[in-house]
Amino acid sequence: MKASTTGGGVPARRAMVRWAWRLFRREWRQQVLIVGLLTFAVAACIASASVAFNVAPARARADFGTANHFFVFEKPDPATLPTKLGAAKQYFGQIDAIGHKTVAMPGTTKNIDYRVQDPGGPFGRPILDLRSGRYPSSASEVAITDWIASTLSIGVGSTLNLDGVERTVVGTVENPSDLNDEFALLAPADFIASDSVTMLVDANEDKIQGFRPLGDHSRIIAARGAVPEDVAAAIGILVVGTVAMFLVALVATASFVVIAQRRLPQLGMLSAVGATQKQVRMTMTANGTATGLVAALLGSIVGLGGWFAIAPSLEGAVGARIDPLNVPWWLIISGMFLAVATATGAGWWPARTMSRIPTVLGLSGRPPRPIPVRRSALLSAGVIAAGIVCLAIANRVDESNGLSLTKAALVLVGTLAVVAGVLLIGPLAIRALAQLAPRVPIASRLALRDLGRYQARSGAALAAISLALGIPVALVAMAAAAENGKGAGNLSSSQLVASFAEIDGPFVPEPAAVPKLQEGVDQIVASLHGATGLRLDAAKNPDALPEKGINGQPAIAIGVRVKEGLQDAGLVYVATPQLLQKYGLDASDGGQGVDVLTADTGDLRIIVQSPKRTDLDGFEAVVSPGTLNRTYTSLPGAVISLARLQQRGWEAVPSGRWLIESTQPLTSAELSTARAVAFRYGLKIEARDYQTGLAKLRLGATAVGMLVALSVLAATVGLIRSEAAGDLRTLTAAGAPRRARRTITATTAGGLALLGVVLGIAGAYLGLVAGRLRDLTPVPVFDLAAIALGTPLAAAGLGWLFAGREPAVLSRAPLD
Amino acid sequence: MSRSSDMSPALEMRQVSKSYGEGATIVEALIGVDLTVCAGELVAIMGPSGSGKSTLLTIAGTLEDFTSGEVTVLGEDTSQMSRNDRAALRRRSIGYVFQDFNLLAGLTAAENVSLPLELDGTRSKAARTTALAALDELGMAERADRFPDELSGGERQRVAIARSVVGDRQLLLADEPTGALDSVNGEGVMRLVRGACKRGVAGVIVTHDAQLASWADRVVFLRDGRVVDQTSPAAGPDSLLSPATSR
Repeated sequence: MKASTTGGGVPARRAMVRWAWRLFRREWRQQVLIVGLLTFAVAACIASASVAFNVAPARARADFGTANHFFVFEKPDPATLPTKLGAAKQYFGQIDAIGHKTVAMPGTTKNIDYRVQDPGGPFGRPILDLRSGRYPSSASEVAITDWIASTLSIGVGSTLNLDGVERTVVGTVENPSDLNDEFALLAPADFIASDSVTMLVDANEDKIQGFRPLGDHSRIIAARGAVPEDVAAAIGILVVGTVAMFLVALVATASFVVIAQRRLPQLGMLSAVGATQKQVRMTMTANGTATGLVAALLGSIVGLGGWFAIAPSLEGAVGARIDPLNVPWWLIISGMFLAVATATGAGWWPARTMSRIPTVLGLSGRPPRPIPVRRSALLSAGVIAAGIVCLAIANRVDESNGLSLTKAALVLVGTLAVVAGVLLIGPLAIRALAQLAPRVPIASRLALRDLGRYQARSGAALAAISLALGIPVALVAMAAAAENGKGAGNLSSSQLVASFAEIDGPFVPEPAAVPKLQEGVDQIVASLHGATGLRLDAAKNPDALPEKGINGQPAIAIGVRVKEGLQDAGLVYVATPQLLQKYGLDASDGGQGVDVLTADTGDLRIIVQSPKRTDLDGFEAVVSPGTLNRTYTSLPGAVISLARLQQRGWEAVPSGRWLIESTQPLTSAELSTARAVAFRYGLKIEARDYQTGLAKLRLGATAVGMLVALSVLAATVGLIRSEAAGDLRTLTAAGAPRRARRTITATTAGGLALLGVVLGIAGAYLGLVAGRLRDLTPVPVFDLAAIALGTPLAAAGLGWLFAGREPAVLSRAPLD
Repeated sequence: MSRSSDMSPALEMRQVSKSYGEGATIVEALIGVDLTVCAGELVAIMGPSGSGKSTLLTIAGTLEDFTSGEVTVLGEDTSQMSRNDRAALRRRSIGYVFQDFNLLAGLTAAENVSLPLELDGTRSKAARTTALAALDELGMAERADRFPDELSGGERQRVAIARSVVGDRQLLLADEPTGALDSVNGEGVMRLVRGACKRGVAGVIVTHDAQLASWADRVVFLRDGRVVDQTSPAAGPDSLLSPATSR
């Protein structure tokens, strides 16, 4: 029974896999690190993907149900509503119409929704569920949410009368996608009395735009994203998980290199008894696969267990019902597969190296000679150049017709190539560091030489550390640039803008509504320490026609003509002396040959009436726009002087907006009071939107990046030094003090961290610059300094602290 | 497992040289070595440290390339063979015994012995049967399912010898096979090697021990990479105390 010379087929493979599995079981302690890291990555990926999969779509589901668009008809004409809905049903095939009527909830500041919805509607199932009792079936019946029941101390069998009609409560209901949605469900007979109607439909964009029923004036269309929110969120997690797995793969490669070098004599023996290169390679690869399988299994158990444990408590936080069994199984399987692939790939690289070692060298247990660094340096230069070319080409791809897949692919390939290229510089960097060995004391010299001698595992460890630091450095750089781009923010910390809650866009309130609003503003001003309120007046064309469904009058606005239409740039305010003072301008600046002073640029148009699609270019262009130095984005962005206002025949009217300014930063208590007052007077409040997101991202990325890098260092330095335990014993026997042992570990950790910092920062900035993210200023010096100095110092310090243990005096040679 | 001794050459080395390094650091490990070992013959290689004994053995076992000359194993010119062909030759025809046993720690004694067979495609059941037979011949059948770390040094070396002779192996190469054993176990191992040769296996054994070398049919002395003497132990124990070994 002779097989071919290239291998023994299935029996040989089975023998190799059996041996690999036995080794995995026997030497599991050496592989705990890899199994632990992979298990954590899989568990985190599965748990976070399950959370994202369930949480991400909740908001959209609450708005759209299972549909992808909704229309809102405000104050529909009861006479034409049935016709309109009938036409819609005929046009779309299926619709789900939901009636709404806002009713004040006595004793609270909250309004509730009197809702009419068909429980069996085609798209509304995710937004209506019966908790107890039954749905109302006649005009004298109602079903209510738990909150209404508990607030009014009523239940099934009680009566409810909030709108002048007494109804019997026949059940309790909820919106499973928004548990904070408080409503009373009425019977279908009440539909016609609705103040507004939401119509859910499932159709493509063209069909939606083509729906123009007779008398269609006041409608709002909202569209759901093309990709389901749950799928998008889960894919996002998968991408993050893949990056994490890549990081783990690098650490695992370093570990497998160590394991492979320990097994080198056995691998040599295997070769000596006639195993082919492929068979030798298979033992390590199978070991990797076994590691991956165990980690995938453990990770999925831990991840799913974690998800099942936290799912019930998520309902309160998310405000939506969560089904623990609604997990993305495809993603869980993908995560498990990724873990197995990661471990197999990590095992394959050292397996390939070991299988190429001459048998005699293997038998003697001598490590392979490091690959010449010039080869990896040349490869690195080539890969980086290819990456930069890809990114350069990507920047030239025309995206005027939407997102280009070619561009996305080029950016992805280019970024990966730049990252890979920088990581390939690792061996060269390690060799350069090792060159310093003769100039440093003996303990540090030994550490630096070992880094150079065991280049394979040092290189893998360095790649992992560089990646762990490169990602946060890129995030920090982008966050800092984005923070800079955002300017000073919307308002200062001592400013508020109060505005009429019922309107938005280029409209001002009816004059009759202003006194009440002013009263509210006065109360807000009085509640704040040393505050002043400035009424902002807007320009209005007296001839502008009112628009149906809008509780206000059209005012003059500025729009920027863009390809898709006109982009609203805000109202044109009247340049009163007080307002100009806010900008540090003189009153005369608003009227000397300049029509409108604005902070906006581009093709600016004056909008006197809501634009129609066919008349986008019919608006007057702004002549000689002067520059308005607007510090904060929510302050008026366009002003006109009183003189120009009169010349044009326009008038100054209260805009329904007030700028309130205190003498000191507003506290959260003051803001709460202001909001409560505003709510009572039909106002809404805009305060400083602290750009804490980006700042937090920057600080978080710095801290997390350093922690991850230090964790990777702890794992890999432990591995590297464990291989030099014999040297430590020799040093101890030669009388080396504890300080020498500490210095060796501290130098190893600090050296690797230093190189990781240099490569991480260089790689991140190279990638960003190659990606033509030009505006990378300001450079986040503080964060980068924290990473650049803090990581090596922390690594060296921790290495020093944890390396004091005296090694065992006698070495136990592994049994071969 | 027994086969007739037909005295055909199992190993032929002609003018084999091997050098390591290059330029000023070149080391000549073997220089023009000629050696022929016939089926059923046991040859002992002796010489001081660094004389090239182990290098000769690794070249004979196709574990290492040689710089010049010609090596024929069982009639096949090894210089013309690919790495995979040489691996196939080793797992089918050459048995190797190392000083430090070199058993795979994760495999039982029987699995270690059946390893070359399984690598060559023999089904595990059939390979195990053959391995058990080989262990039985060496008195190790009862220890077949023990792992190496559960065996004594002598037992481990017996397992290694069983692995080196299992199947149709015709060339047994042993590098200091008794180096890690006491004298009693050492003699036991030599008895097994001798027994294998009596069954027709050609054997080459590297040793420092003149007493053990006396088990061989012929003793070859190496010094500085050259064959300096050849003798037969039948000429008397004193013949093994050549200048080459006594220094």
